[in-house]
This record gives sequence, structure tokens and C-alpha cells, in this order.
Amino acid sequence: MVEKKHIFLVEDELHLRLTLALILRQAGFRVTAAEDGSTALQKIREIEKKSEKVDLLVTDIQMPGISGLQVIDEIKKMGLDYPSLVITGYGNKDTVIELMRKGCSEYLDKPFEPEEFLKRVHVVLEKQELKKAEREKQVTKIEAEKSEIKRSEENYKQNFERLRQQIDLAVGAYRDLVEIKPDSYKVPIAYRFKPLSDLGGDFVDVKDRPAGCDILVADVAGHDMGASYHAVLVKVLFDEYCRNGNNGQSFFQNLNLHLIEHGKHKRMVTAIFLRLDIERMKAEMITAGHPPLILIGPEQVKPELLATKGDVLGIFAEAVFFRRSFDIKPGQRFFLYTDGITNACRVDGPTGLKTKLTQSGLDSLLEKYRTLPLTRMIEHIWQDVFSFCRCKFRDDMLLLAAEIPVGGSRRLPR
Amino acid sequence: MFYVEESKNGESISFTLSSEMRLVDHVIRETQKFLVRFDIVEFSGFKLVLRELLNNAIEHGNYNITERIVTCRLQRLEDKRFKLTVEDEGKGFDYDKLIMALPEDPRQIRNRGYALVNAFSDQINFNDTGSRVSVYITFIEETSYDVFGQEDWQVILPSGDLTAATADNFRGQLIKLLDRGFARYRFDFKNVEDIDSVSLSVLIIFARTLSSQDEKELEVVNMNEDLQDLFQMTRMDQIYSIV
Repeated sequence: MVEKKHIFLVEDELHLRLTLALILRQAGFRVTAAEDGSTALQKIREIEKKSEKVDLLVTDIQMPGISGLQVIDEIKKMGLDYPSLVITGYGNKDTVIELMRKGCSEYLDKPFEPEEFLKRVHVVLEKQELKKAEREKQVTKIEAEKSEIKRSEENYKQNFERLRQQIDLAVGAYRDLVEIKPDSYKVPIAYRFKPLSDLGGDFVDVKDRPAGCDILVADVAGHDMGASYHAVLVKVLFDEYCRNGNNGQSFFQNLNLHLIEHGKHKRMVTAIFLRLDIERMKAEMITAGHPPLILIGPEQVKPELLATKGDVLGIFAEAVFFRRSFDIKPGQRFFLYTDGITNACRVDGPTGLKTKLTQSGLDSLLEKYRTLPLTRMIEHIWQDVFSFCRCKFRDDMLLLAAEIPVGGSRRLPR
Repeated sequence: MFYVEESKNGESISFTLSSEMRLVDHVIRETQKFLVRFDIVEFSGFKLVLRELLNNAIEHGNYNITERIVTCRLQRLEDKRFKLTVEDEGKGFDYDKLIMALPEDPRQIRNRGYALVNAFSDQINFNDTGSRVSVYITFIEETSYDVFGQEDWQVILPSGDLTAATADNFRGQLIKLLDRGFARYRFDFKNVEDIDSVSLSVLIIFARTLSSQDEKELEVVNMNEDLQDLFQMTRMDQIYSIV
């Protein structure tokens, strides 16, 4: 026979005490009742002496003499750990907090229905049961379920790993695509890049030429695998263009036609191309709907924006691109970026106001750090952009700077 | 143990709980019921934030000592913006050392906690010691598209920003219109603050598909200045007349 659960009841109101005891007994519990705190403590000592156990303490909180809370404290002092259900006449927040502090299991506001009372009793007892881990059967069942879960988890893991590996390959390919080695070019370069997710649509490449460098920055709409695929297309055509030495205008025309032809899900691409010739000290720029090229001279405080015109790539077959040539001077710095930077935004929590970094925000960062060496300048601007948007990114972001060296190129051929 | 209390005006809900992990789900359920009243249906980001903060408070703040208390309050600021405050009784921590950017490697699980909270919220504030954290959250709804006829025009009225996330839906709506063969389209951008390049591509392609029609007319109304600049920069203003 299963031993009856033993409930110890402390309640000063005679009627309520008898009612509760009756309810509990009818529900199949063994009940010991006491009419006040001191009697309760005495009885509990006797019970403990006989090495009997109490499964649950039900006590009223407000009683003449020793209160329910004191009873709980005293029991604890005896080194006993009874789960407890406390009956409160005024279940306000402070009382509940005090009960939590004493580690009580449950409370019940007066008045209450018998069903509710029994429900709470069962809740506490069940919680206790679980705690004691008496349910060997449950445990074995749980163990069985666990191993089943483990098996399917392994399965998922394997599938996931396989997919992951494929994605990793794509991600690696994309990273290689946009990774340039800033120290290896004839013109000193510094850059930072942050794709929104693993794969992105921003693209950068730099190629040395006999007299200087060609730089290309492009932004494919979106930041997913499709966008990366377009980035590959841009890369291939840029490589080919650099090998053949065509002019920039025809490169953009060619790129445009390829993007229209091969880009299955039409995506807009904006791009900016900059050719720096540090022997003749000339530059050529071509843009396709891309944010402007920014220039800061050695003696110049305010950044200068070099006009941005031209159709975007990948949409119109008859697109027209904008070309401009100008003289360059040693010490001048050129900045190319994608609009993820100027669109970086933050929301002020308390007011809900949304602020975008904007072009003028970027300009003031460029102005602020213009006296630093190129690499540190870009580093600082980058950090400021991150803290401006609180690391909440909404788009791929790319920033590249090139500095016209003093005294010609660093490594002239031969 | 668990105590819940709602402010009289119904604009905030507070929880007081003992440090027991099992109560976290309870709080999440109750806050969800509370949020539904404000027509908020997408909670996944919010749940992540709340769970993270409560777990932190119980585990790292109160060291799982049941008798220590966690208080949590969710307060509506306006419309769909809320402030969530969680406080524990621990000694706090050095929150200046937190890294808010998510780790590059998604398999890295350690130290993601606060980066996740950051990613799903507008702003995070701590008290001096770090035992109380306040997080500001805006619930953003997915943009929906209202399409209706007005005189000879088909009016397309998006409910919010046009981004890559909603571009498929946007494309779908426009294709439906194309199939019905209308000629005059008016885009009302009064609720649009931002259009990203993916959605811009959708607009361009829509115009190109239409261009075979002789009578076509496209216009955009109620567009903010930033967007007007964007339209000029991408020469979209030559396809869509800005009214």
C-alpha cells in the first residue's frame, strides 16, 4: 500500500481548520492539525522525534501569538526543510515578497474555493516529488526520450553540417572576392568591410597598373547568395577589363550588358571606378548611380564631393555613365564607400527618434580624423560608425581610402 | 513564486519573482498576453530579449538562489514602443566590457547574449552597478500593401518601409496588377521612410515591364526629401513622375 502523504495544518480559526482538514482527509491525505503556532512547533518536534515525515506544511499567516511566518522560520531553525503552502488574508505584494524570501513554495489568498486549495496542495507536492527524483520510471522514460532526441539531433547536426560546409564554401569564396591586401599596391590603401550577413553584395577590388592603380567599389542590391553571385560577375569582368586595358567607359557598358543578360532576378548595381595615375598625376572617375567620390587635400579641412551621376547598372540596356578626369596632388586622399555607411541609423530609446548618419555625418567624421595616418583614420571612422549605429547593421558597409603618395609611387616598376 | 501587477491605466505590467528558471516562461506568457492587446503579433525578437535578461538576472545576478528576487517591468511608451526593465539583487557586472556586435561565426554560442539583446532592441541602458538593465524596443510590422482604384488610377499604398525583407511581397502585388492590365499607377509613399536598393529594383523592373504599353503613366506622391534625392540619383525620376 502506498503510504499516505502527511500534511501538517496550522490554522487558528476553528471552522476553517476543520473544513480544510476534512477536505484533505477526503482527498486521501493524512492530516495533523494545530490551532496555533506554539502548539504546531511542539507537535512537529514530537513528529520528528518519532522520525516520521511531513510532506507539506499548510499554514495561515496571521494568527494570534506565533505567526505563520515565524512558524516557518522556527521549522527552518530546527534544520527541517518542509515545502510550504501559506494562506494569506491579504496577498499584497510585500507579503508575497516576504514569502519568496523565506523560500515558501506557494501562497493562496483568502477567501478561496476548496478545489483551488486542493489544486495548490497538489502543485506543491508534485513539485516536491519532482525535486526528490523519486520517479524512477519517469527518469527511464525521459532517458529513452532523450536518447531519441539525441539521435535525431545527431541527424540534424549532420545535415546542418553538410549545408553549413556548402555555405562556408560560398562564404569563403565571397570573402576572397572582396578581400584585398591594402599594403601591396602602388597607392597606399586602407579599407574596412562589414557584410550584413555571411554573404553580401558589396564589392571592392584594386589592381595595380604600370602608372598607378584602378579601384572599383560596387554595391549589388541585397545581401544574400544572389547578390554574391552578381558580385562574382562584377569581379570576373573587372579582371578581364584590367587585363585588356580597355577604357573605363566601355568596362561599365560591358558590365551593364552582362548583368542584364545573366542576372536572372534583376538586381540593381551601383558602382564607382577610380583610376589613379601617379606618374602623370591624373585621375579618371566613372560612376553608375553610386554615392559620390570624396576628396580631402593635405591643406583642406572640408571634404569635397565629386559629382555623382550616371545610370545604375543591370537595369537599362541603353544606360549612360558619367566620366570625369581631373588632376591629382601628392597627399590628397580619396574615399569610396557604399551607402550602407551613410544609411547607418540609430533609434533613441526614450524618444524613439531615428537618426541617419547621412553624407554630412560621414563628412564630419572624415574631417575629424583627417590628420591621422590613413590606416588609423579609417579605423577611427569605422569605430565611430559602429558606435553610431550601436552595432545594429542594416546593410553591407564598405569604406576605402587611397592616398596619393608624396614623391611618386612606392614601388615603381623596375 | 510569482507576483504580477498591472498599472491602472493598463500601460504597464510588473512582475516580481523568486529566482527560479521555470518562472521565466510564465513571465513570457504573461507579457505576450499583455502585448497582444496592443495588436502586437510578432514577438520572437522580444521573447529572445526577455528570456536573455531574465536568465541573466536569475543565473548571473542572483546565482540561482531562490530566495533572491527579480523584478521585471514592461512599460508602453507610445504606439508600439516599449521599455523593458529587469533588476536583480546581485552585485552587478562590468557592462562596459560587453561586446555588442554579434560574433562573425554563428556557431559561437558563448557571449552572444547581450549581442542578441542589442540586435533586437533600439537601446540598452544600465544602472551604475549593472544590476538593473533597461531595454527600449520598437515592434516593427511587416509592410503590407493597400491597392485600390481612384478615378483612372490604381493606387498602391505601402504601410511602411520598402526593404529586401518585404520585396517579394511587393513584387507579387505589382505582378497581380500587371496581369489585370491597368495603365495608370500612383504610388503613395506617405508611410515610407526608406526604400532599399532591392525594392528600388522591383520598381524599375515594374516600369520596364509596363513600357511596352503606350498609354502607361507612373507617379509617386507624398515622397520625403531623402527618397526624392534617391530617385534623382538613380534617375528613377525620369520614369516615375514625382508629384
